[in-house]
Amino acid sequence: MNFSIHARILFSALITLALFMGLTGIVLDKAFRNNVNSLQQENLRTQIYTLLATAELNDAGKIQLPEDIAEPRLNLAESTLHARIVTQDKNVIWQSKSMLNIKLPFVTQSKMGEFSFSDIAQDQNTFTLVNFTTQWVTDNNEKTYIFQVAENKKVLSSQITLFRKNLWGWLAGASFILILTQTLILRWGLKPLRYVAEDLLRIENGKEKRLTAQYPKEITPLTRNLNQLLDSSQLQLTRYRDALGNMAHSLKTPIAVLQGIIGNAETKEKDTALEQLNTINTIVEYQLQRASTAGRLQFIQEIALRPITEKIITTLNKVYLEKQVETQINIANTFTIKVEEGDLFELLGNLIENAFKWSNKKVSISAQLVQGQTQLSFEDDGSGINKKEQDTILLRGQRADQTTPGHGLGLAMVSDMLLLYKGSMEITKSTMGGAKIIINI
Amino acid sequence: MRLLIVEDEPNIREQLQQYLQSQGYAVDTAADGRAGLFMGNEYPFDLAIVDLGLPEISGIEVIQHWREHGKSFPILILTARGKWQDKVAGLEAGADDYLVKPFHNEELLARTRALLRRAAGVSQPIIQFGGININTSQQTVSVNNIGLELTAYEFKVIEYLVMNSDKVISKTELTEHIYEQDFDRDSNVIEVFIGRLRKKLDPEGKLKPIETLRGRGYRWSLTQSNEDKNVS
Repeated sequence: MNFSIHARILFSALITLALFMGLTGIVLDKAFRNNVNSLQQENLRTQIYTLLATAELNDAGKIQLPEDIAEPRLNLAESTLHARIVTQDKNVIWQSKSMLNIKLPFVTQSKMGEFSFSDIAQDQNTFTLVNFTTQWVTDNNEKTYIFQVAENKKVLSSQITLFRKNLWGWLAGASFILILTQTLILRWGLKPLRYVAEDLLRIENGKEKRLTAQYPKEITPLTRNLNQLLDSSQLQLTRYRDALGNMAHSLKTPIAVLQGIIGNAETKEKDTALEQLNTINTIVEYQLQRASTAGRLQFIQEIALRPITEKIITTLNKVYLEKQVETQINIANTFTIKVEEGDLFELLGNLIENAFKWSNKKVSISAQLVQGQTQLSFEDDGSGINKKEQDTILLRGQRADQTTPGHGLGLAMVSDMLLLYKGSMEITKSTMGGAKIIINI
Repeated sequence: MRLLIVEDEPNIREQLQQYLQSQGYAVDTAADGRAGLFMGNEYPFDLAIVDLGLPEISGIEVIQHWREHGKSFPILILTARGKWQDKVAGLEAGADDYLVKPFHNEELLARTRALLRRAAGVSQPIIQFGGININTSQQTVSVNNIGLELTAYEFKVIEYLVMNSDKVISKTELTEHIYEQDFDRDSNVIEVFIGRLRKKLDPEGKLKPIETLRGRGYRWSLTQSNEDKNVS
């Protein structure tokens, strides 16, 4: 499973927190219950001692207790504290007023002088019962009495319930604050990573060339390496292009020499030789073009369209000076396109030169966004391209090595380049009269 | 017309030189950027053909230097890669046209002639002055539709005078533009050429196409009669 760092840390923090808080709750709960229980036992013991202190033997040698006991809870009928004194043969010697509705079990096995605690259930109530067996010695005999005190457990459980409510409430509150803090810390701590991701996206979209922001020292090795990688790929690209340039030069120079020699020679094979030479040249040109376009579609910068268009038009105006072509550029100054600069020069150069070549007087170049895609159109007022020629031109891109140079090779290269950019080319008729070439890229 | 070829590939350089010489141009050559730069600065050329991929100093730098130093002769660049970035850079530096290698000699010649005509403000390969017709493409001159027999040098003289018809051309300038650097020059020859041309162009002495300005030089005195018609 591929979880984000954020999710991983938050998830593990949640688990740890739940375990920790749960354990704390259980331990505290247990400690509190023990504490309350021992307090109750202590209290019951005290009650026994009070009863022992209060009991007196009357003249008839019988145990006697006053009507009202010092402990007020024993005197109320609806009380939760009950007491009685019984003999070993289950005769009730005395019982508190609060015993009216309560029946306590008789305990026969009890060690002399020792407190024995037990829990008993009766009529949906639970009681903590303490027995204390003692011997009273009178003049002529000794009698064994069992002192019994019982307290309803509901007093205890209400205390425990209240404590539990408080305890878990506080623990939940603390957990919530901890999680909130943890989330905030995480967001803050992971911010630089988020920035790196955003910067990388900008590089991917061609808005930046390298990671330029200041990052914390933990991730600088990463960003530094990334920058080195970006730089080296850029350098490699430059070297690759230089190498291609040199190769073009060294391949085409001998072709030019041969062409000169054959052109000047007077043999009957001259035309065939020149034709073959042309084919070689076309293949070289086409393959070099392909090679320089292929494999460089990563990290393409967005580039302003208008300045390059203007540069090419200035160049062509110089070359086609006699023609005095009127050009119209319908491209916003802010219009950008995601095509590598060299490729954009080739694309615009070939298409605009084509328009210049076939125009009478006017050329128009426009750019617009159509459904999120860039659409470029190149129009002229020449005689246009007929259907048969259109097909030949579009086919040449796929079979440039089988063709002879001339009209359309530039367009074929454009069409081939568009394949790499997953773009498309369409040839139609312009309202200006000539051809209209539409590029979607 | 005197041309400069700056090209490092010896075969292409020699071929071009021979070809352009055979087409009636005086041609000097340089094998690298440094030599080309020097020659362009020192000698009066009418046009330069510069390869962009030169050793020592690049073609672009050579062109930039010439333009910065006021050299206004037309420049045709040769490029092996044919990349648009190179073409744009070359023309931005100050070149006037480009040709991608390999090229046909005829194509180069057509571009060269077009640039020379453009520099002279002539738009057509055939220039007419009343009855005198000068065909710069075919290097022929006819008077009242009768072709003249001209030597290569005679044509060079008339072409240079016609292409610079608004200026007075000294004998030295004329010599510099019709001969190559190493040529054994004799300025008296110019006078001989002018004399012969006058006889051939205007046997009856009515038109007086070539004017002599004493102590200054010569000037083509006729006005073009087909200017700016049928601009191609």
